[in-house]
Amino acid sequence: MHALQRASRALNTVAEKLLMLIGAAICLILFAQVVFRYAGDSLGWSEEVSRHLLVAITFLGGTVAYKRASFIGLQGVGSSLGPAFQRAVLRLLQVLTLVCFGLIAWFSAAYTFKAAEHTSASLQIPMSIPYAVIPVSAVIFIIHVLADMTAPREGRRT
Amino acid sequence: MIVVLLFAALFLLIALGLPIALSIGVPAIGLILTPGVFPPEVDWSGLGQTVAQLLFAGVDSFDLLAVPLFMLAGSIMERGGISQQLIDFSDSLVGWAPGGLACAVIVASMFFAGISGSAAADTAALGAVAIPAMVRQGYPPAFSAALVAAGGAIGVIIPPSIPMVIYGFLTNVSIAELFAGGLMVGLLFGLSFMAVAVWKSVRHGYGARRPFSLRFVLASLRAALWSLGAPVIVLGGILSGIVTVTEAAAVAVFYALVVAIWINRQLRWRDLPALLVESQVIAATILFIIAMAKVFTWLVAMQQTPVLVQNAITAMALPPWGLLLLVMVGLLIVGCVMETTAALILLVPVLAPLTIHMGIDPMHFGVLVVVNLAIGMLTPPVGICLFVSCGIAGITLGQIGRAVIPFVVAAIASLMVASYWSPIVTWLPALIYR
Repeated sequence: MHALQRASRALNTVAEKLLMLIGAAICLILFAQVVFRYAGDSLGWSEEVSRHLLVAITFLGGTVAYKRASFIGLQGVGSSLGPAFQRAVLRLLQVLTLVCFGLIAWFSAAYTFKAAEHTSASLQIPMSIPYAVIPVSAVIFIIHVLADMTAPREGRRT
Repeated sequence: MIVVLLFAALFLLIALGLPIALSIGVPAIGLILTPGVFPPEVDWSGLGQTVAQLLFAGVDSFDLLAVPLFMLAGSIMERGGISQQLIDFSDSLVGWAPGGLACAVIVASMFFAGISGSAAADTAALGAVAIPAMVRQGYPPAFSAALVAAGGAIGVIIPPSIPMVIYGFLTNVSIAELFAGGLMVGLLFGLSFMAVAVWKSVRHGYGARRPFSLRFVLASLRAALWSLGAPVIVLGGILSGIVTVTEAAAVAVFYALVVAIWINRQLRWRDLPALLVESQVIAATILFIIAMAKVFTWLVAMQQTPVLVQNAITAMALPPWGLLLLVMVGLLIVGCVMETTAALILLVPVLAPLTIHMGIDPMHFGVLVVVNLAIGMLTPPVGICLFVSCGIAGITLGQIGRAVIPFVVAAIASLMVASYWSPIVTWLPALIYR
C-alpha cells in the first residue's frame, strides 16, 4: 500500500480514538456541572472547556465523516453522463476540496500562532490550544483527499 | 453580483455531488480570497484569518453542544431495546382501533420524539422494529415505510429537537420556549397521521385489531416504565428550568445508559466506544455545515443582501397573513430540495427579521420554520426520513414517495393550523414562562 494511504488510515484511527475520548469527556464535564451547581459550588471552567471540545468534535469529526464518505450530500448528476465525464467531475471536486483545505490550513495556522498571546477567559490557557484543532484537521483532510486521488482505481470512492 | 455567483456555485457543486458542507464552504472561501471582491486596502492575509476565526466562532457555542449529546442519547436508547417496549405499550393503548398497529407506531414515534432530537434517528429506531411487524400483520411495505417516515418527522417537532437548537442558536430565541411551543404541534401532527392511518386501514382492510385489555396495558406499561421516564426527565428538567437544554442532553445520556445497560440489559459496555464515535461523527456532519455556513452567511451579509431581500419583500406590501403564507410556501419548496441544517442556516438570518411584518411572535415563527422543514424530510427528492425508511423496508424511493402523499397532505394541513391558530404554539410557553 502507498505511504499516503497508510498515513490516511493511521490518522483516521487516531481521530476516531480522540473523538471517543472527547465525547466521553463532554458528557462527564456537563454532568459534573449540574451536580456541582446543585451542591452549591459551580464549576467556573466547565462551559469553556466543553465549548472548545465541541469545536474539536466538529473538525476532527468532519475528517472522519469524510473518510467514511458520510457527509450529507446528493447523488451527483454526473453518474448519468458516462464514466469519463464522471472521472473528470470527481477530479475537479477533489482539486477544489484540496485548495479549500489548503487555504484553511495556511490561514488557520497563521491565526493559531498569532493567538498565542491571548489567553482564554476562565482557564487562562493560550487560545492557540483550542484554535490548533482547525489547522490540524485541515491537514488531515488534505492527506485523506490526496490518498483518495492516488488510490488504485477500484479502491477509489466517488 | 457576488451573491448570485455564490449561490450559483453552491447549487452547481451540490448538483455535481460535492458534500453540502463543502459546497457551502468552497465557493464562500474562494470568493472571499479572490482579489477584487473586497477593496484592495483590505489586507489579504487578514481576510484569510477572518475565515479561520469565523470557522471557529461558528461552532464555539454552549447551545450547540446539545447536538452531539442528544444524538448520543438517542442512539443509546435505540440500541437499548426501547423501541419494542414503546411499540408494545402504544399498541396496548390504541391497538383496538382500526389500523391498530399503525396507530400504535405513531404513538410510539411521539414517545420516542420526546427522547431523541433527530428525525432520522427516530425513523431508524422505530422502523427496524415496526416495519417488519406491520408487514406481518398484512400492511403493504410501502404504506408501513411511509407511516414510519411520517412518525419520524415528529421527532424534530416534539422536543428535544436538534433543528430547534440550531434555530435558537441562530436567532437568540429561547430554545426552551421553542421546545415548549413545539409540543402541542407535535401532538397535532401525531393525531393527523393517526387519522390517515385509520382512514387507509378501513378503506383497504389493512392490519388486525385486538380487543382492549387493561391487563395488557398495565403489563406493557410496567415493561416500558423506565423508557417512558426519559422524556419525562428531559422535558420536565428543561421546562421547569432545573437544567439548561445542553445539561438536559448530558443527563439524558446518563439516563439512557442506565436504562440500556442495567434495566434492559441490551447494551454492553464494550458497545459504547463505537456508539460514541458514531454519534459524534453524525453530529460533526451537521456542525461542519454550521461552521462553513458561518463563512458563507458572513460574505452574504457583507454584500448587504439580507437587507436587500427584506426591502424587496416589504416593498410588496403584503398583508401579514399573506406574507406568512408566502414564506411558508417558499420554505416548503426549499425543504423539498435542500437538506434541513443547510436550509436553516442559509435562510433564517434573512427571514427571522421579517416576523414583525408577519404579525407573529419570533418563537412562533421558529416553531413554524422547524415544522416546515420537518415536512421537507418527508418529501422527495431530499427527504432524510424517506431515505432511512425505504432502506429498512427494501423498497424504492418512488414507491415510498407515492405512499407518503396522504401523510404529507395531513402534515401541510396541520402546518396551516399551527400558522394561523397561534394558541396551539404560544399557549404552553406562555403558561410556563410568562
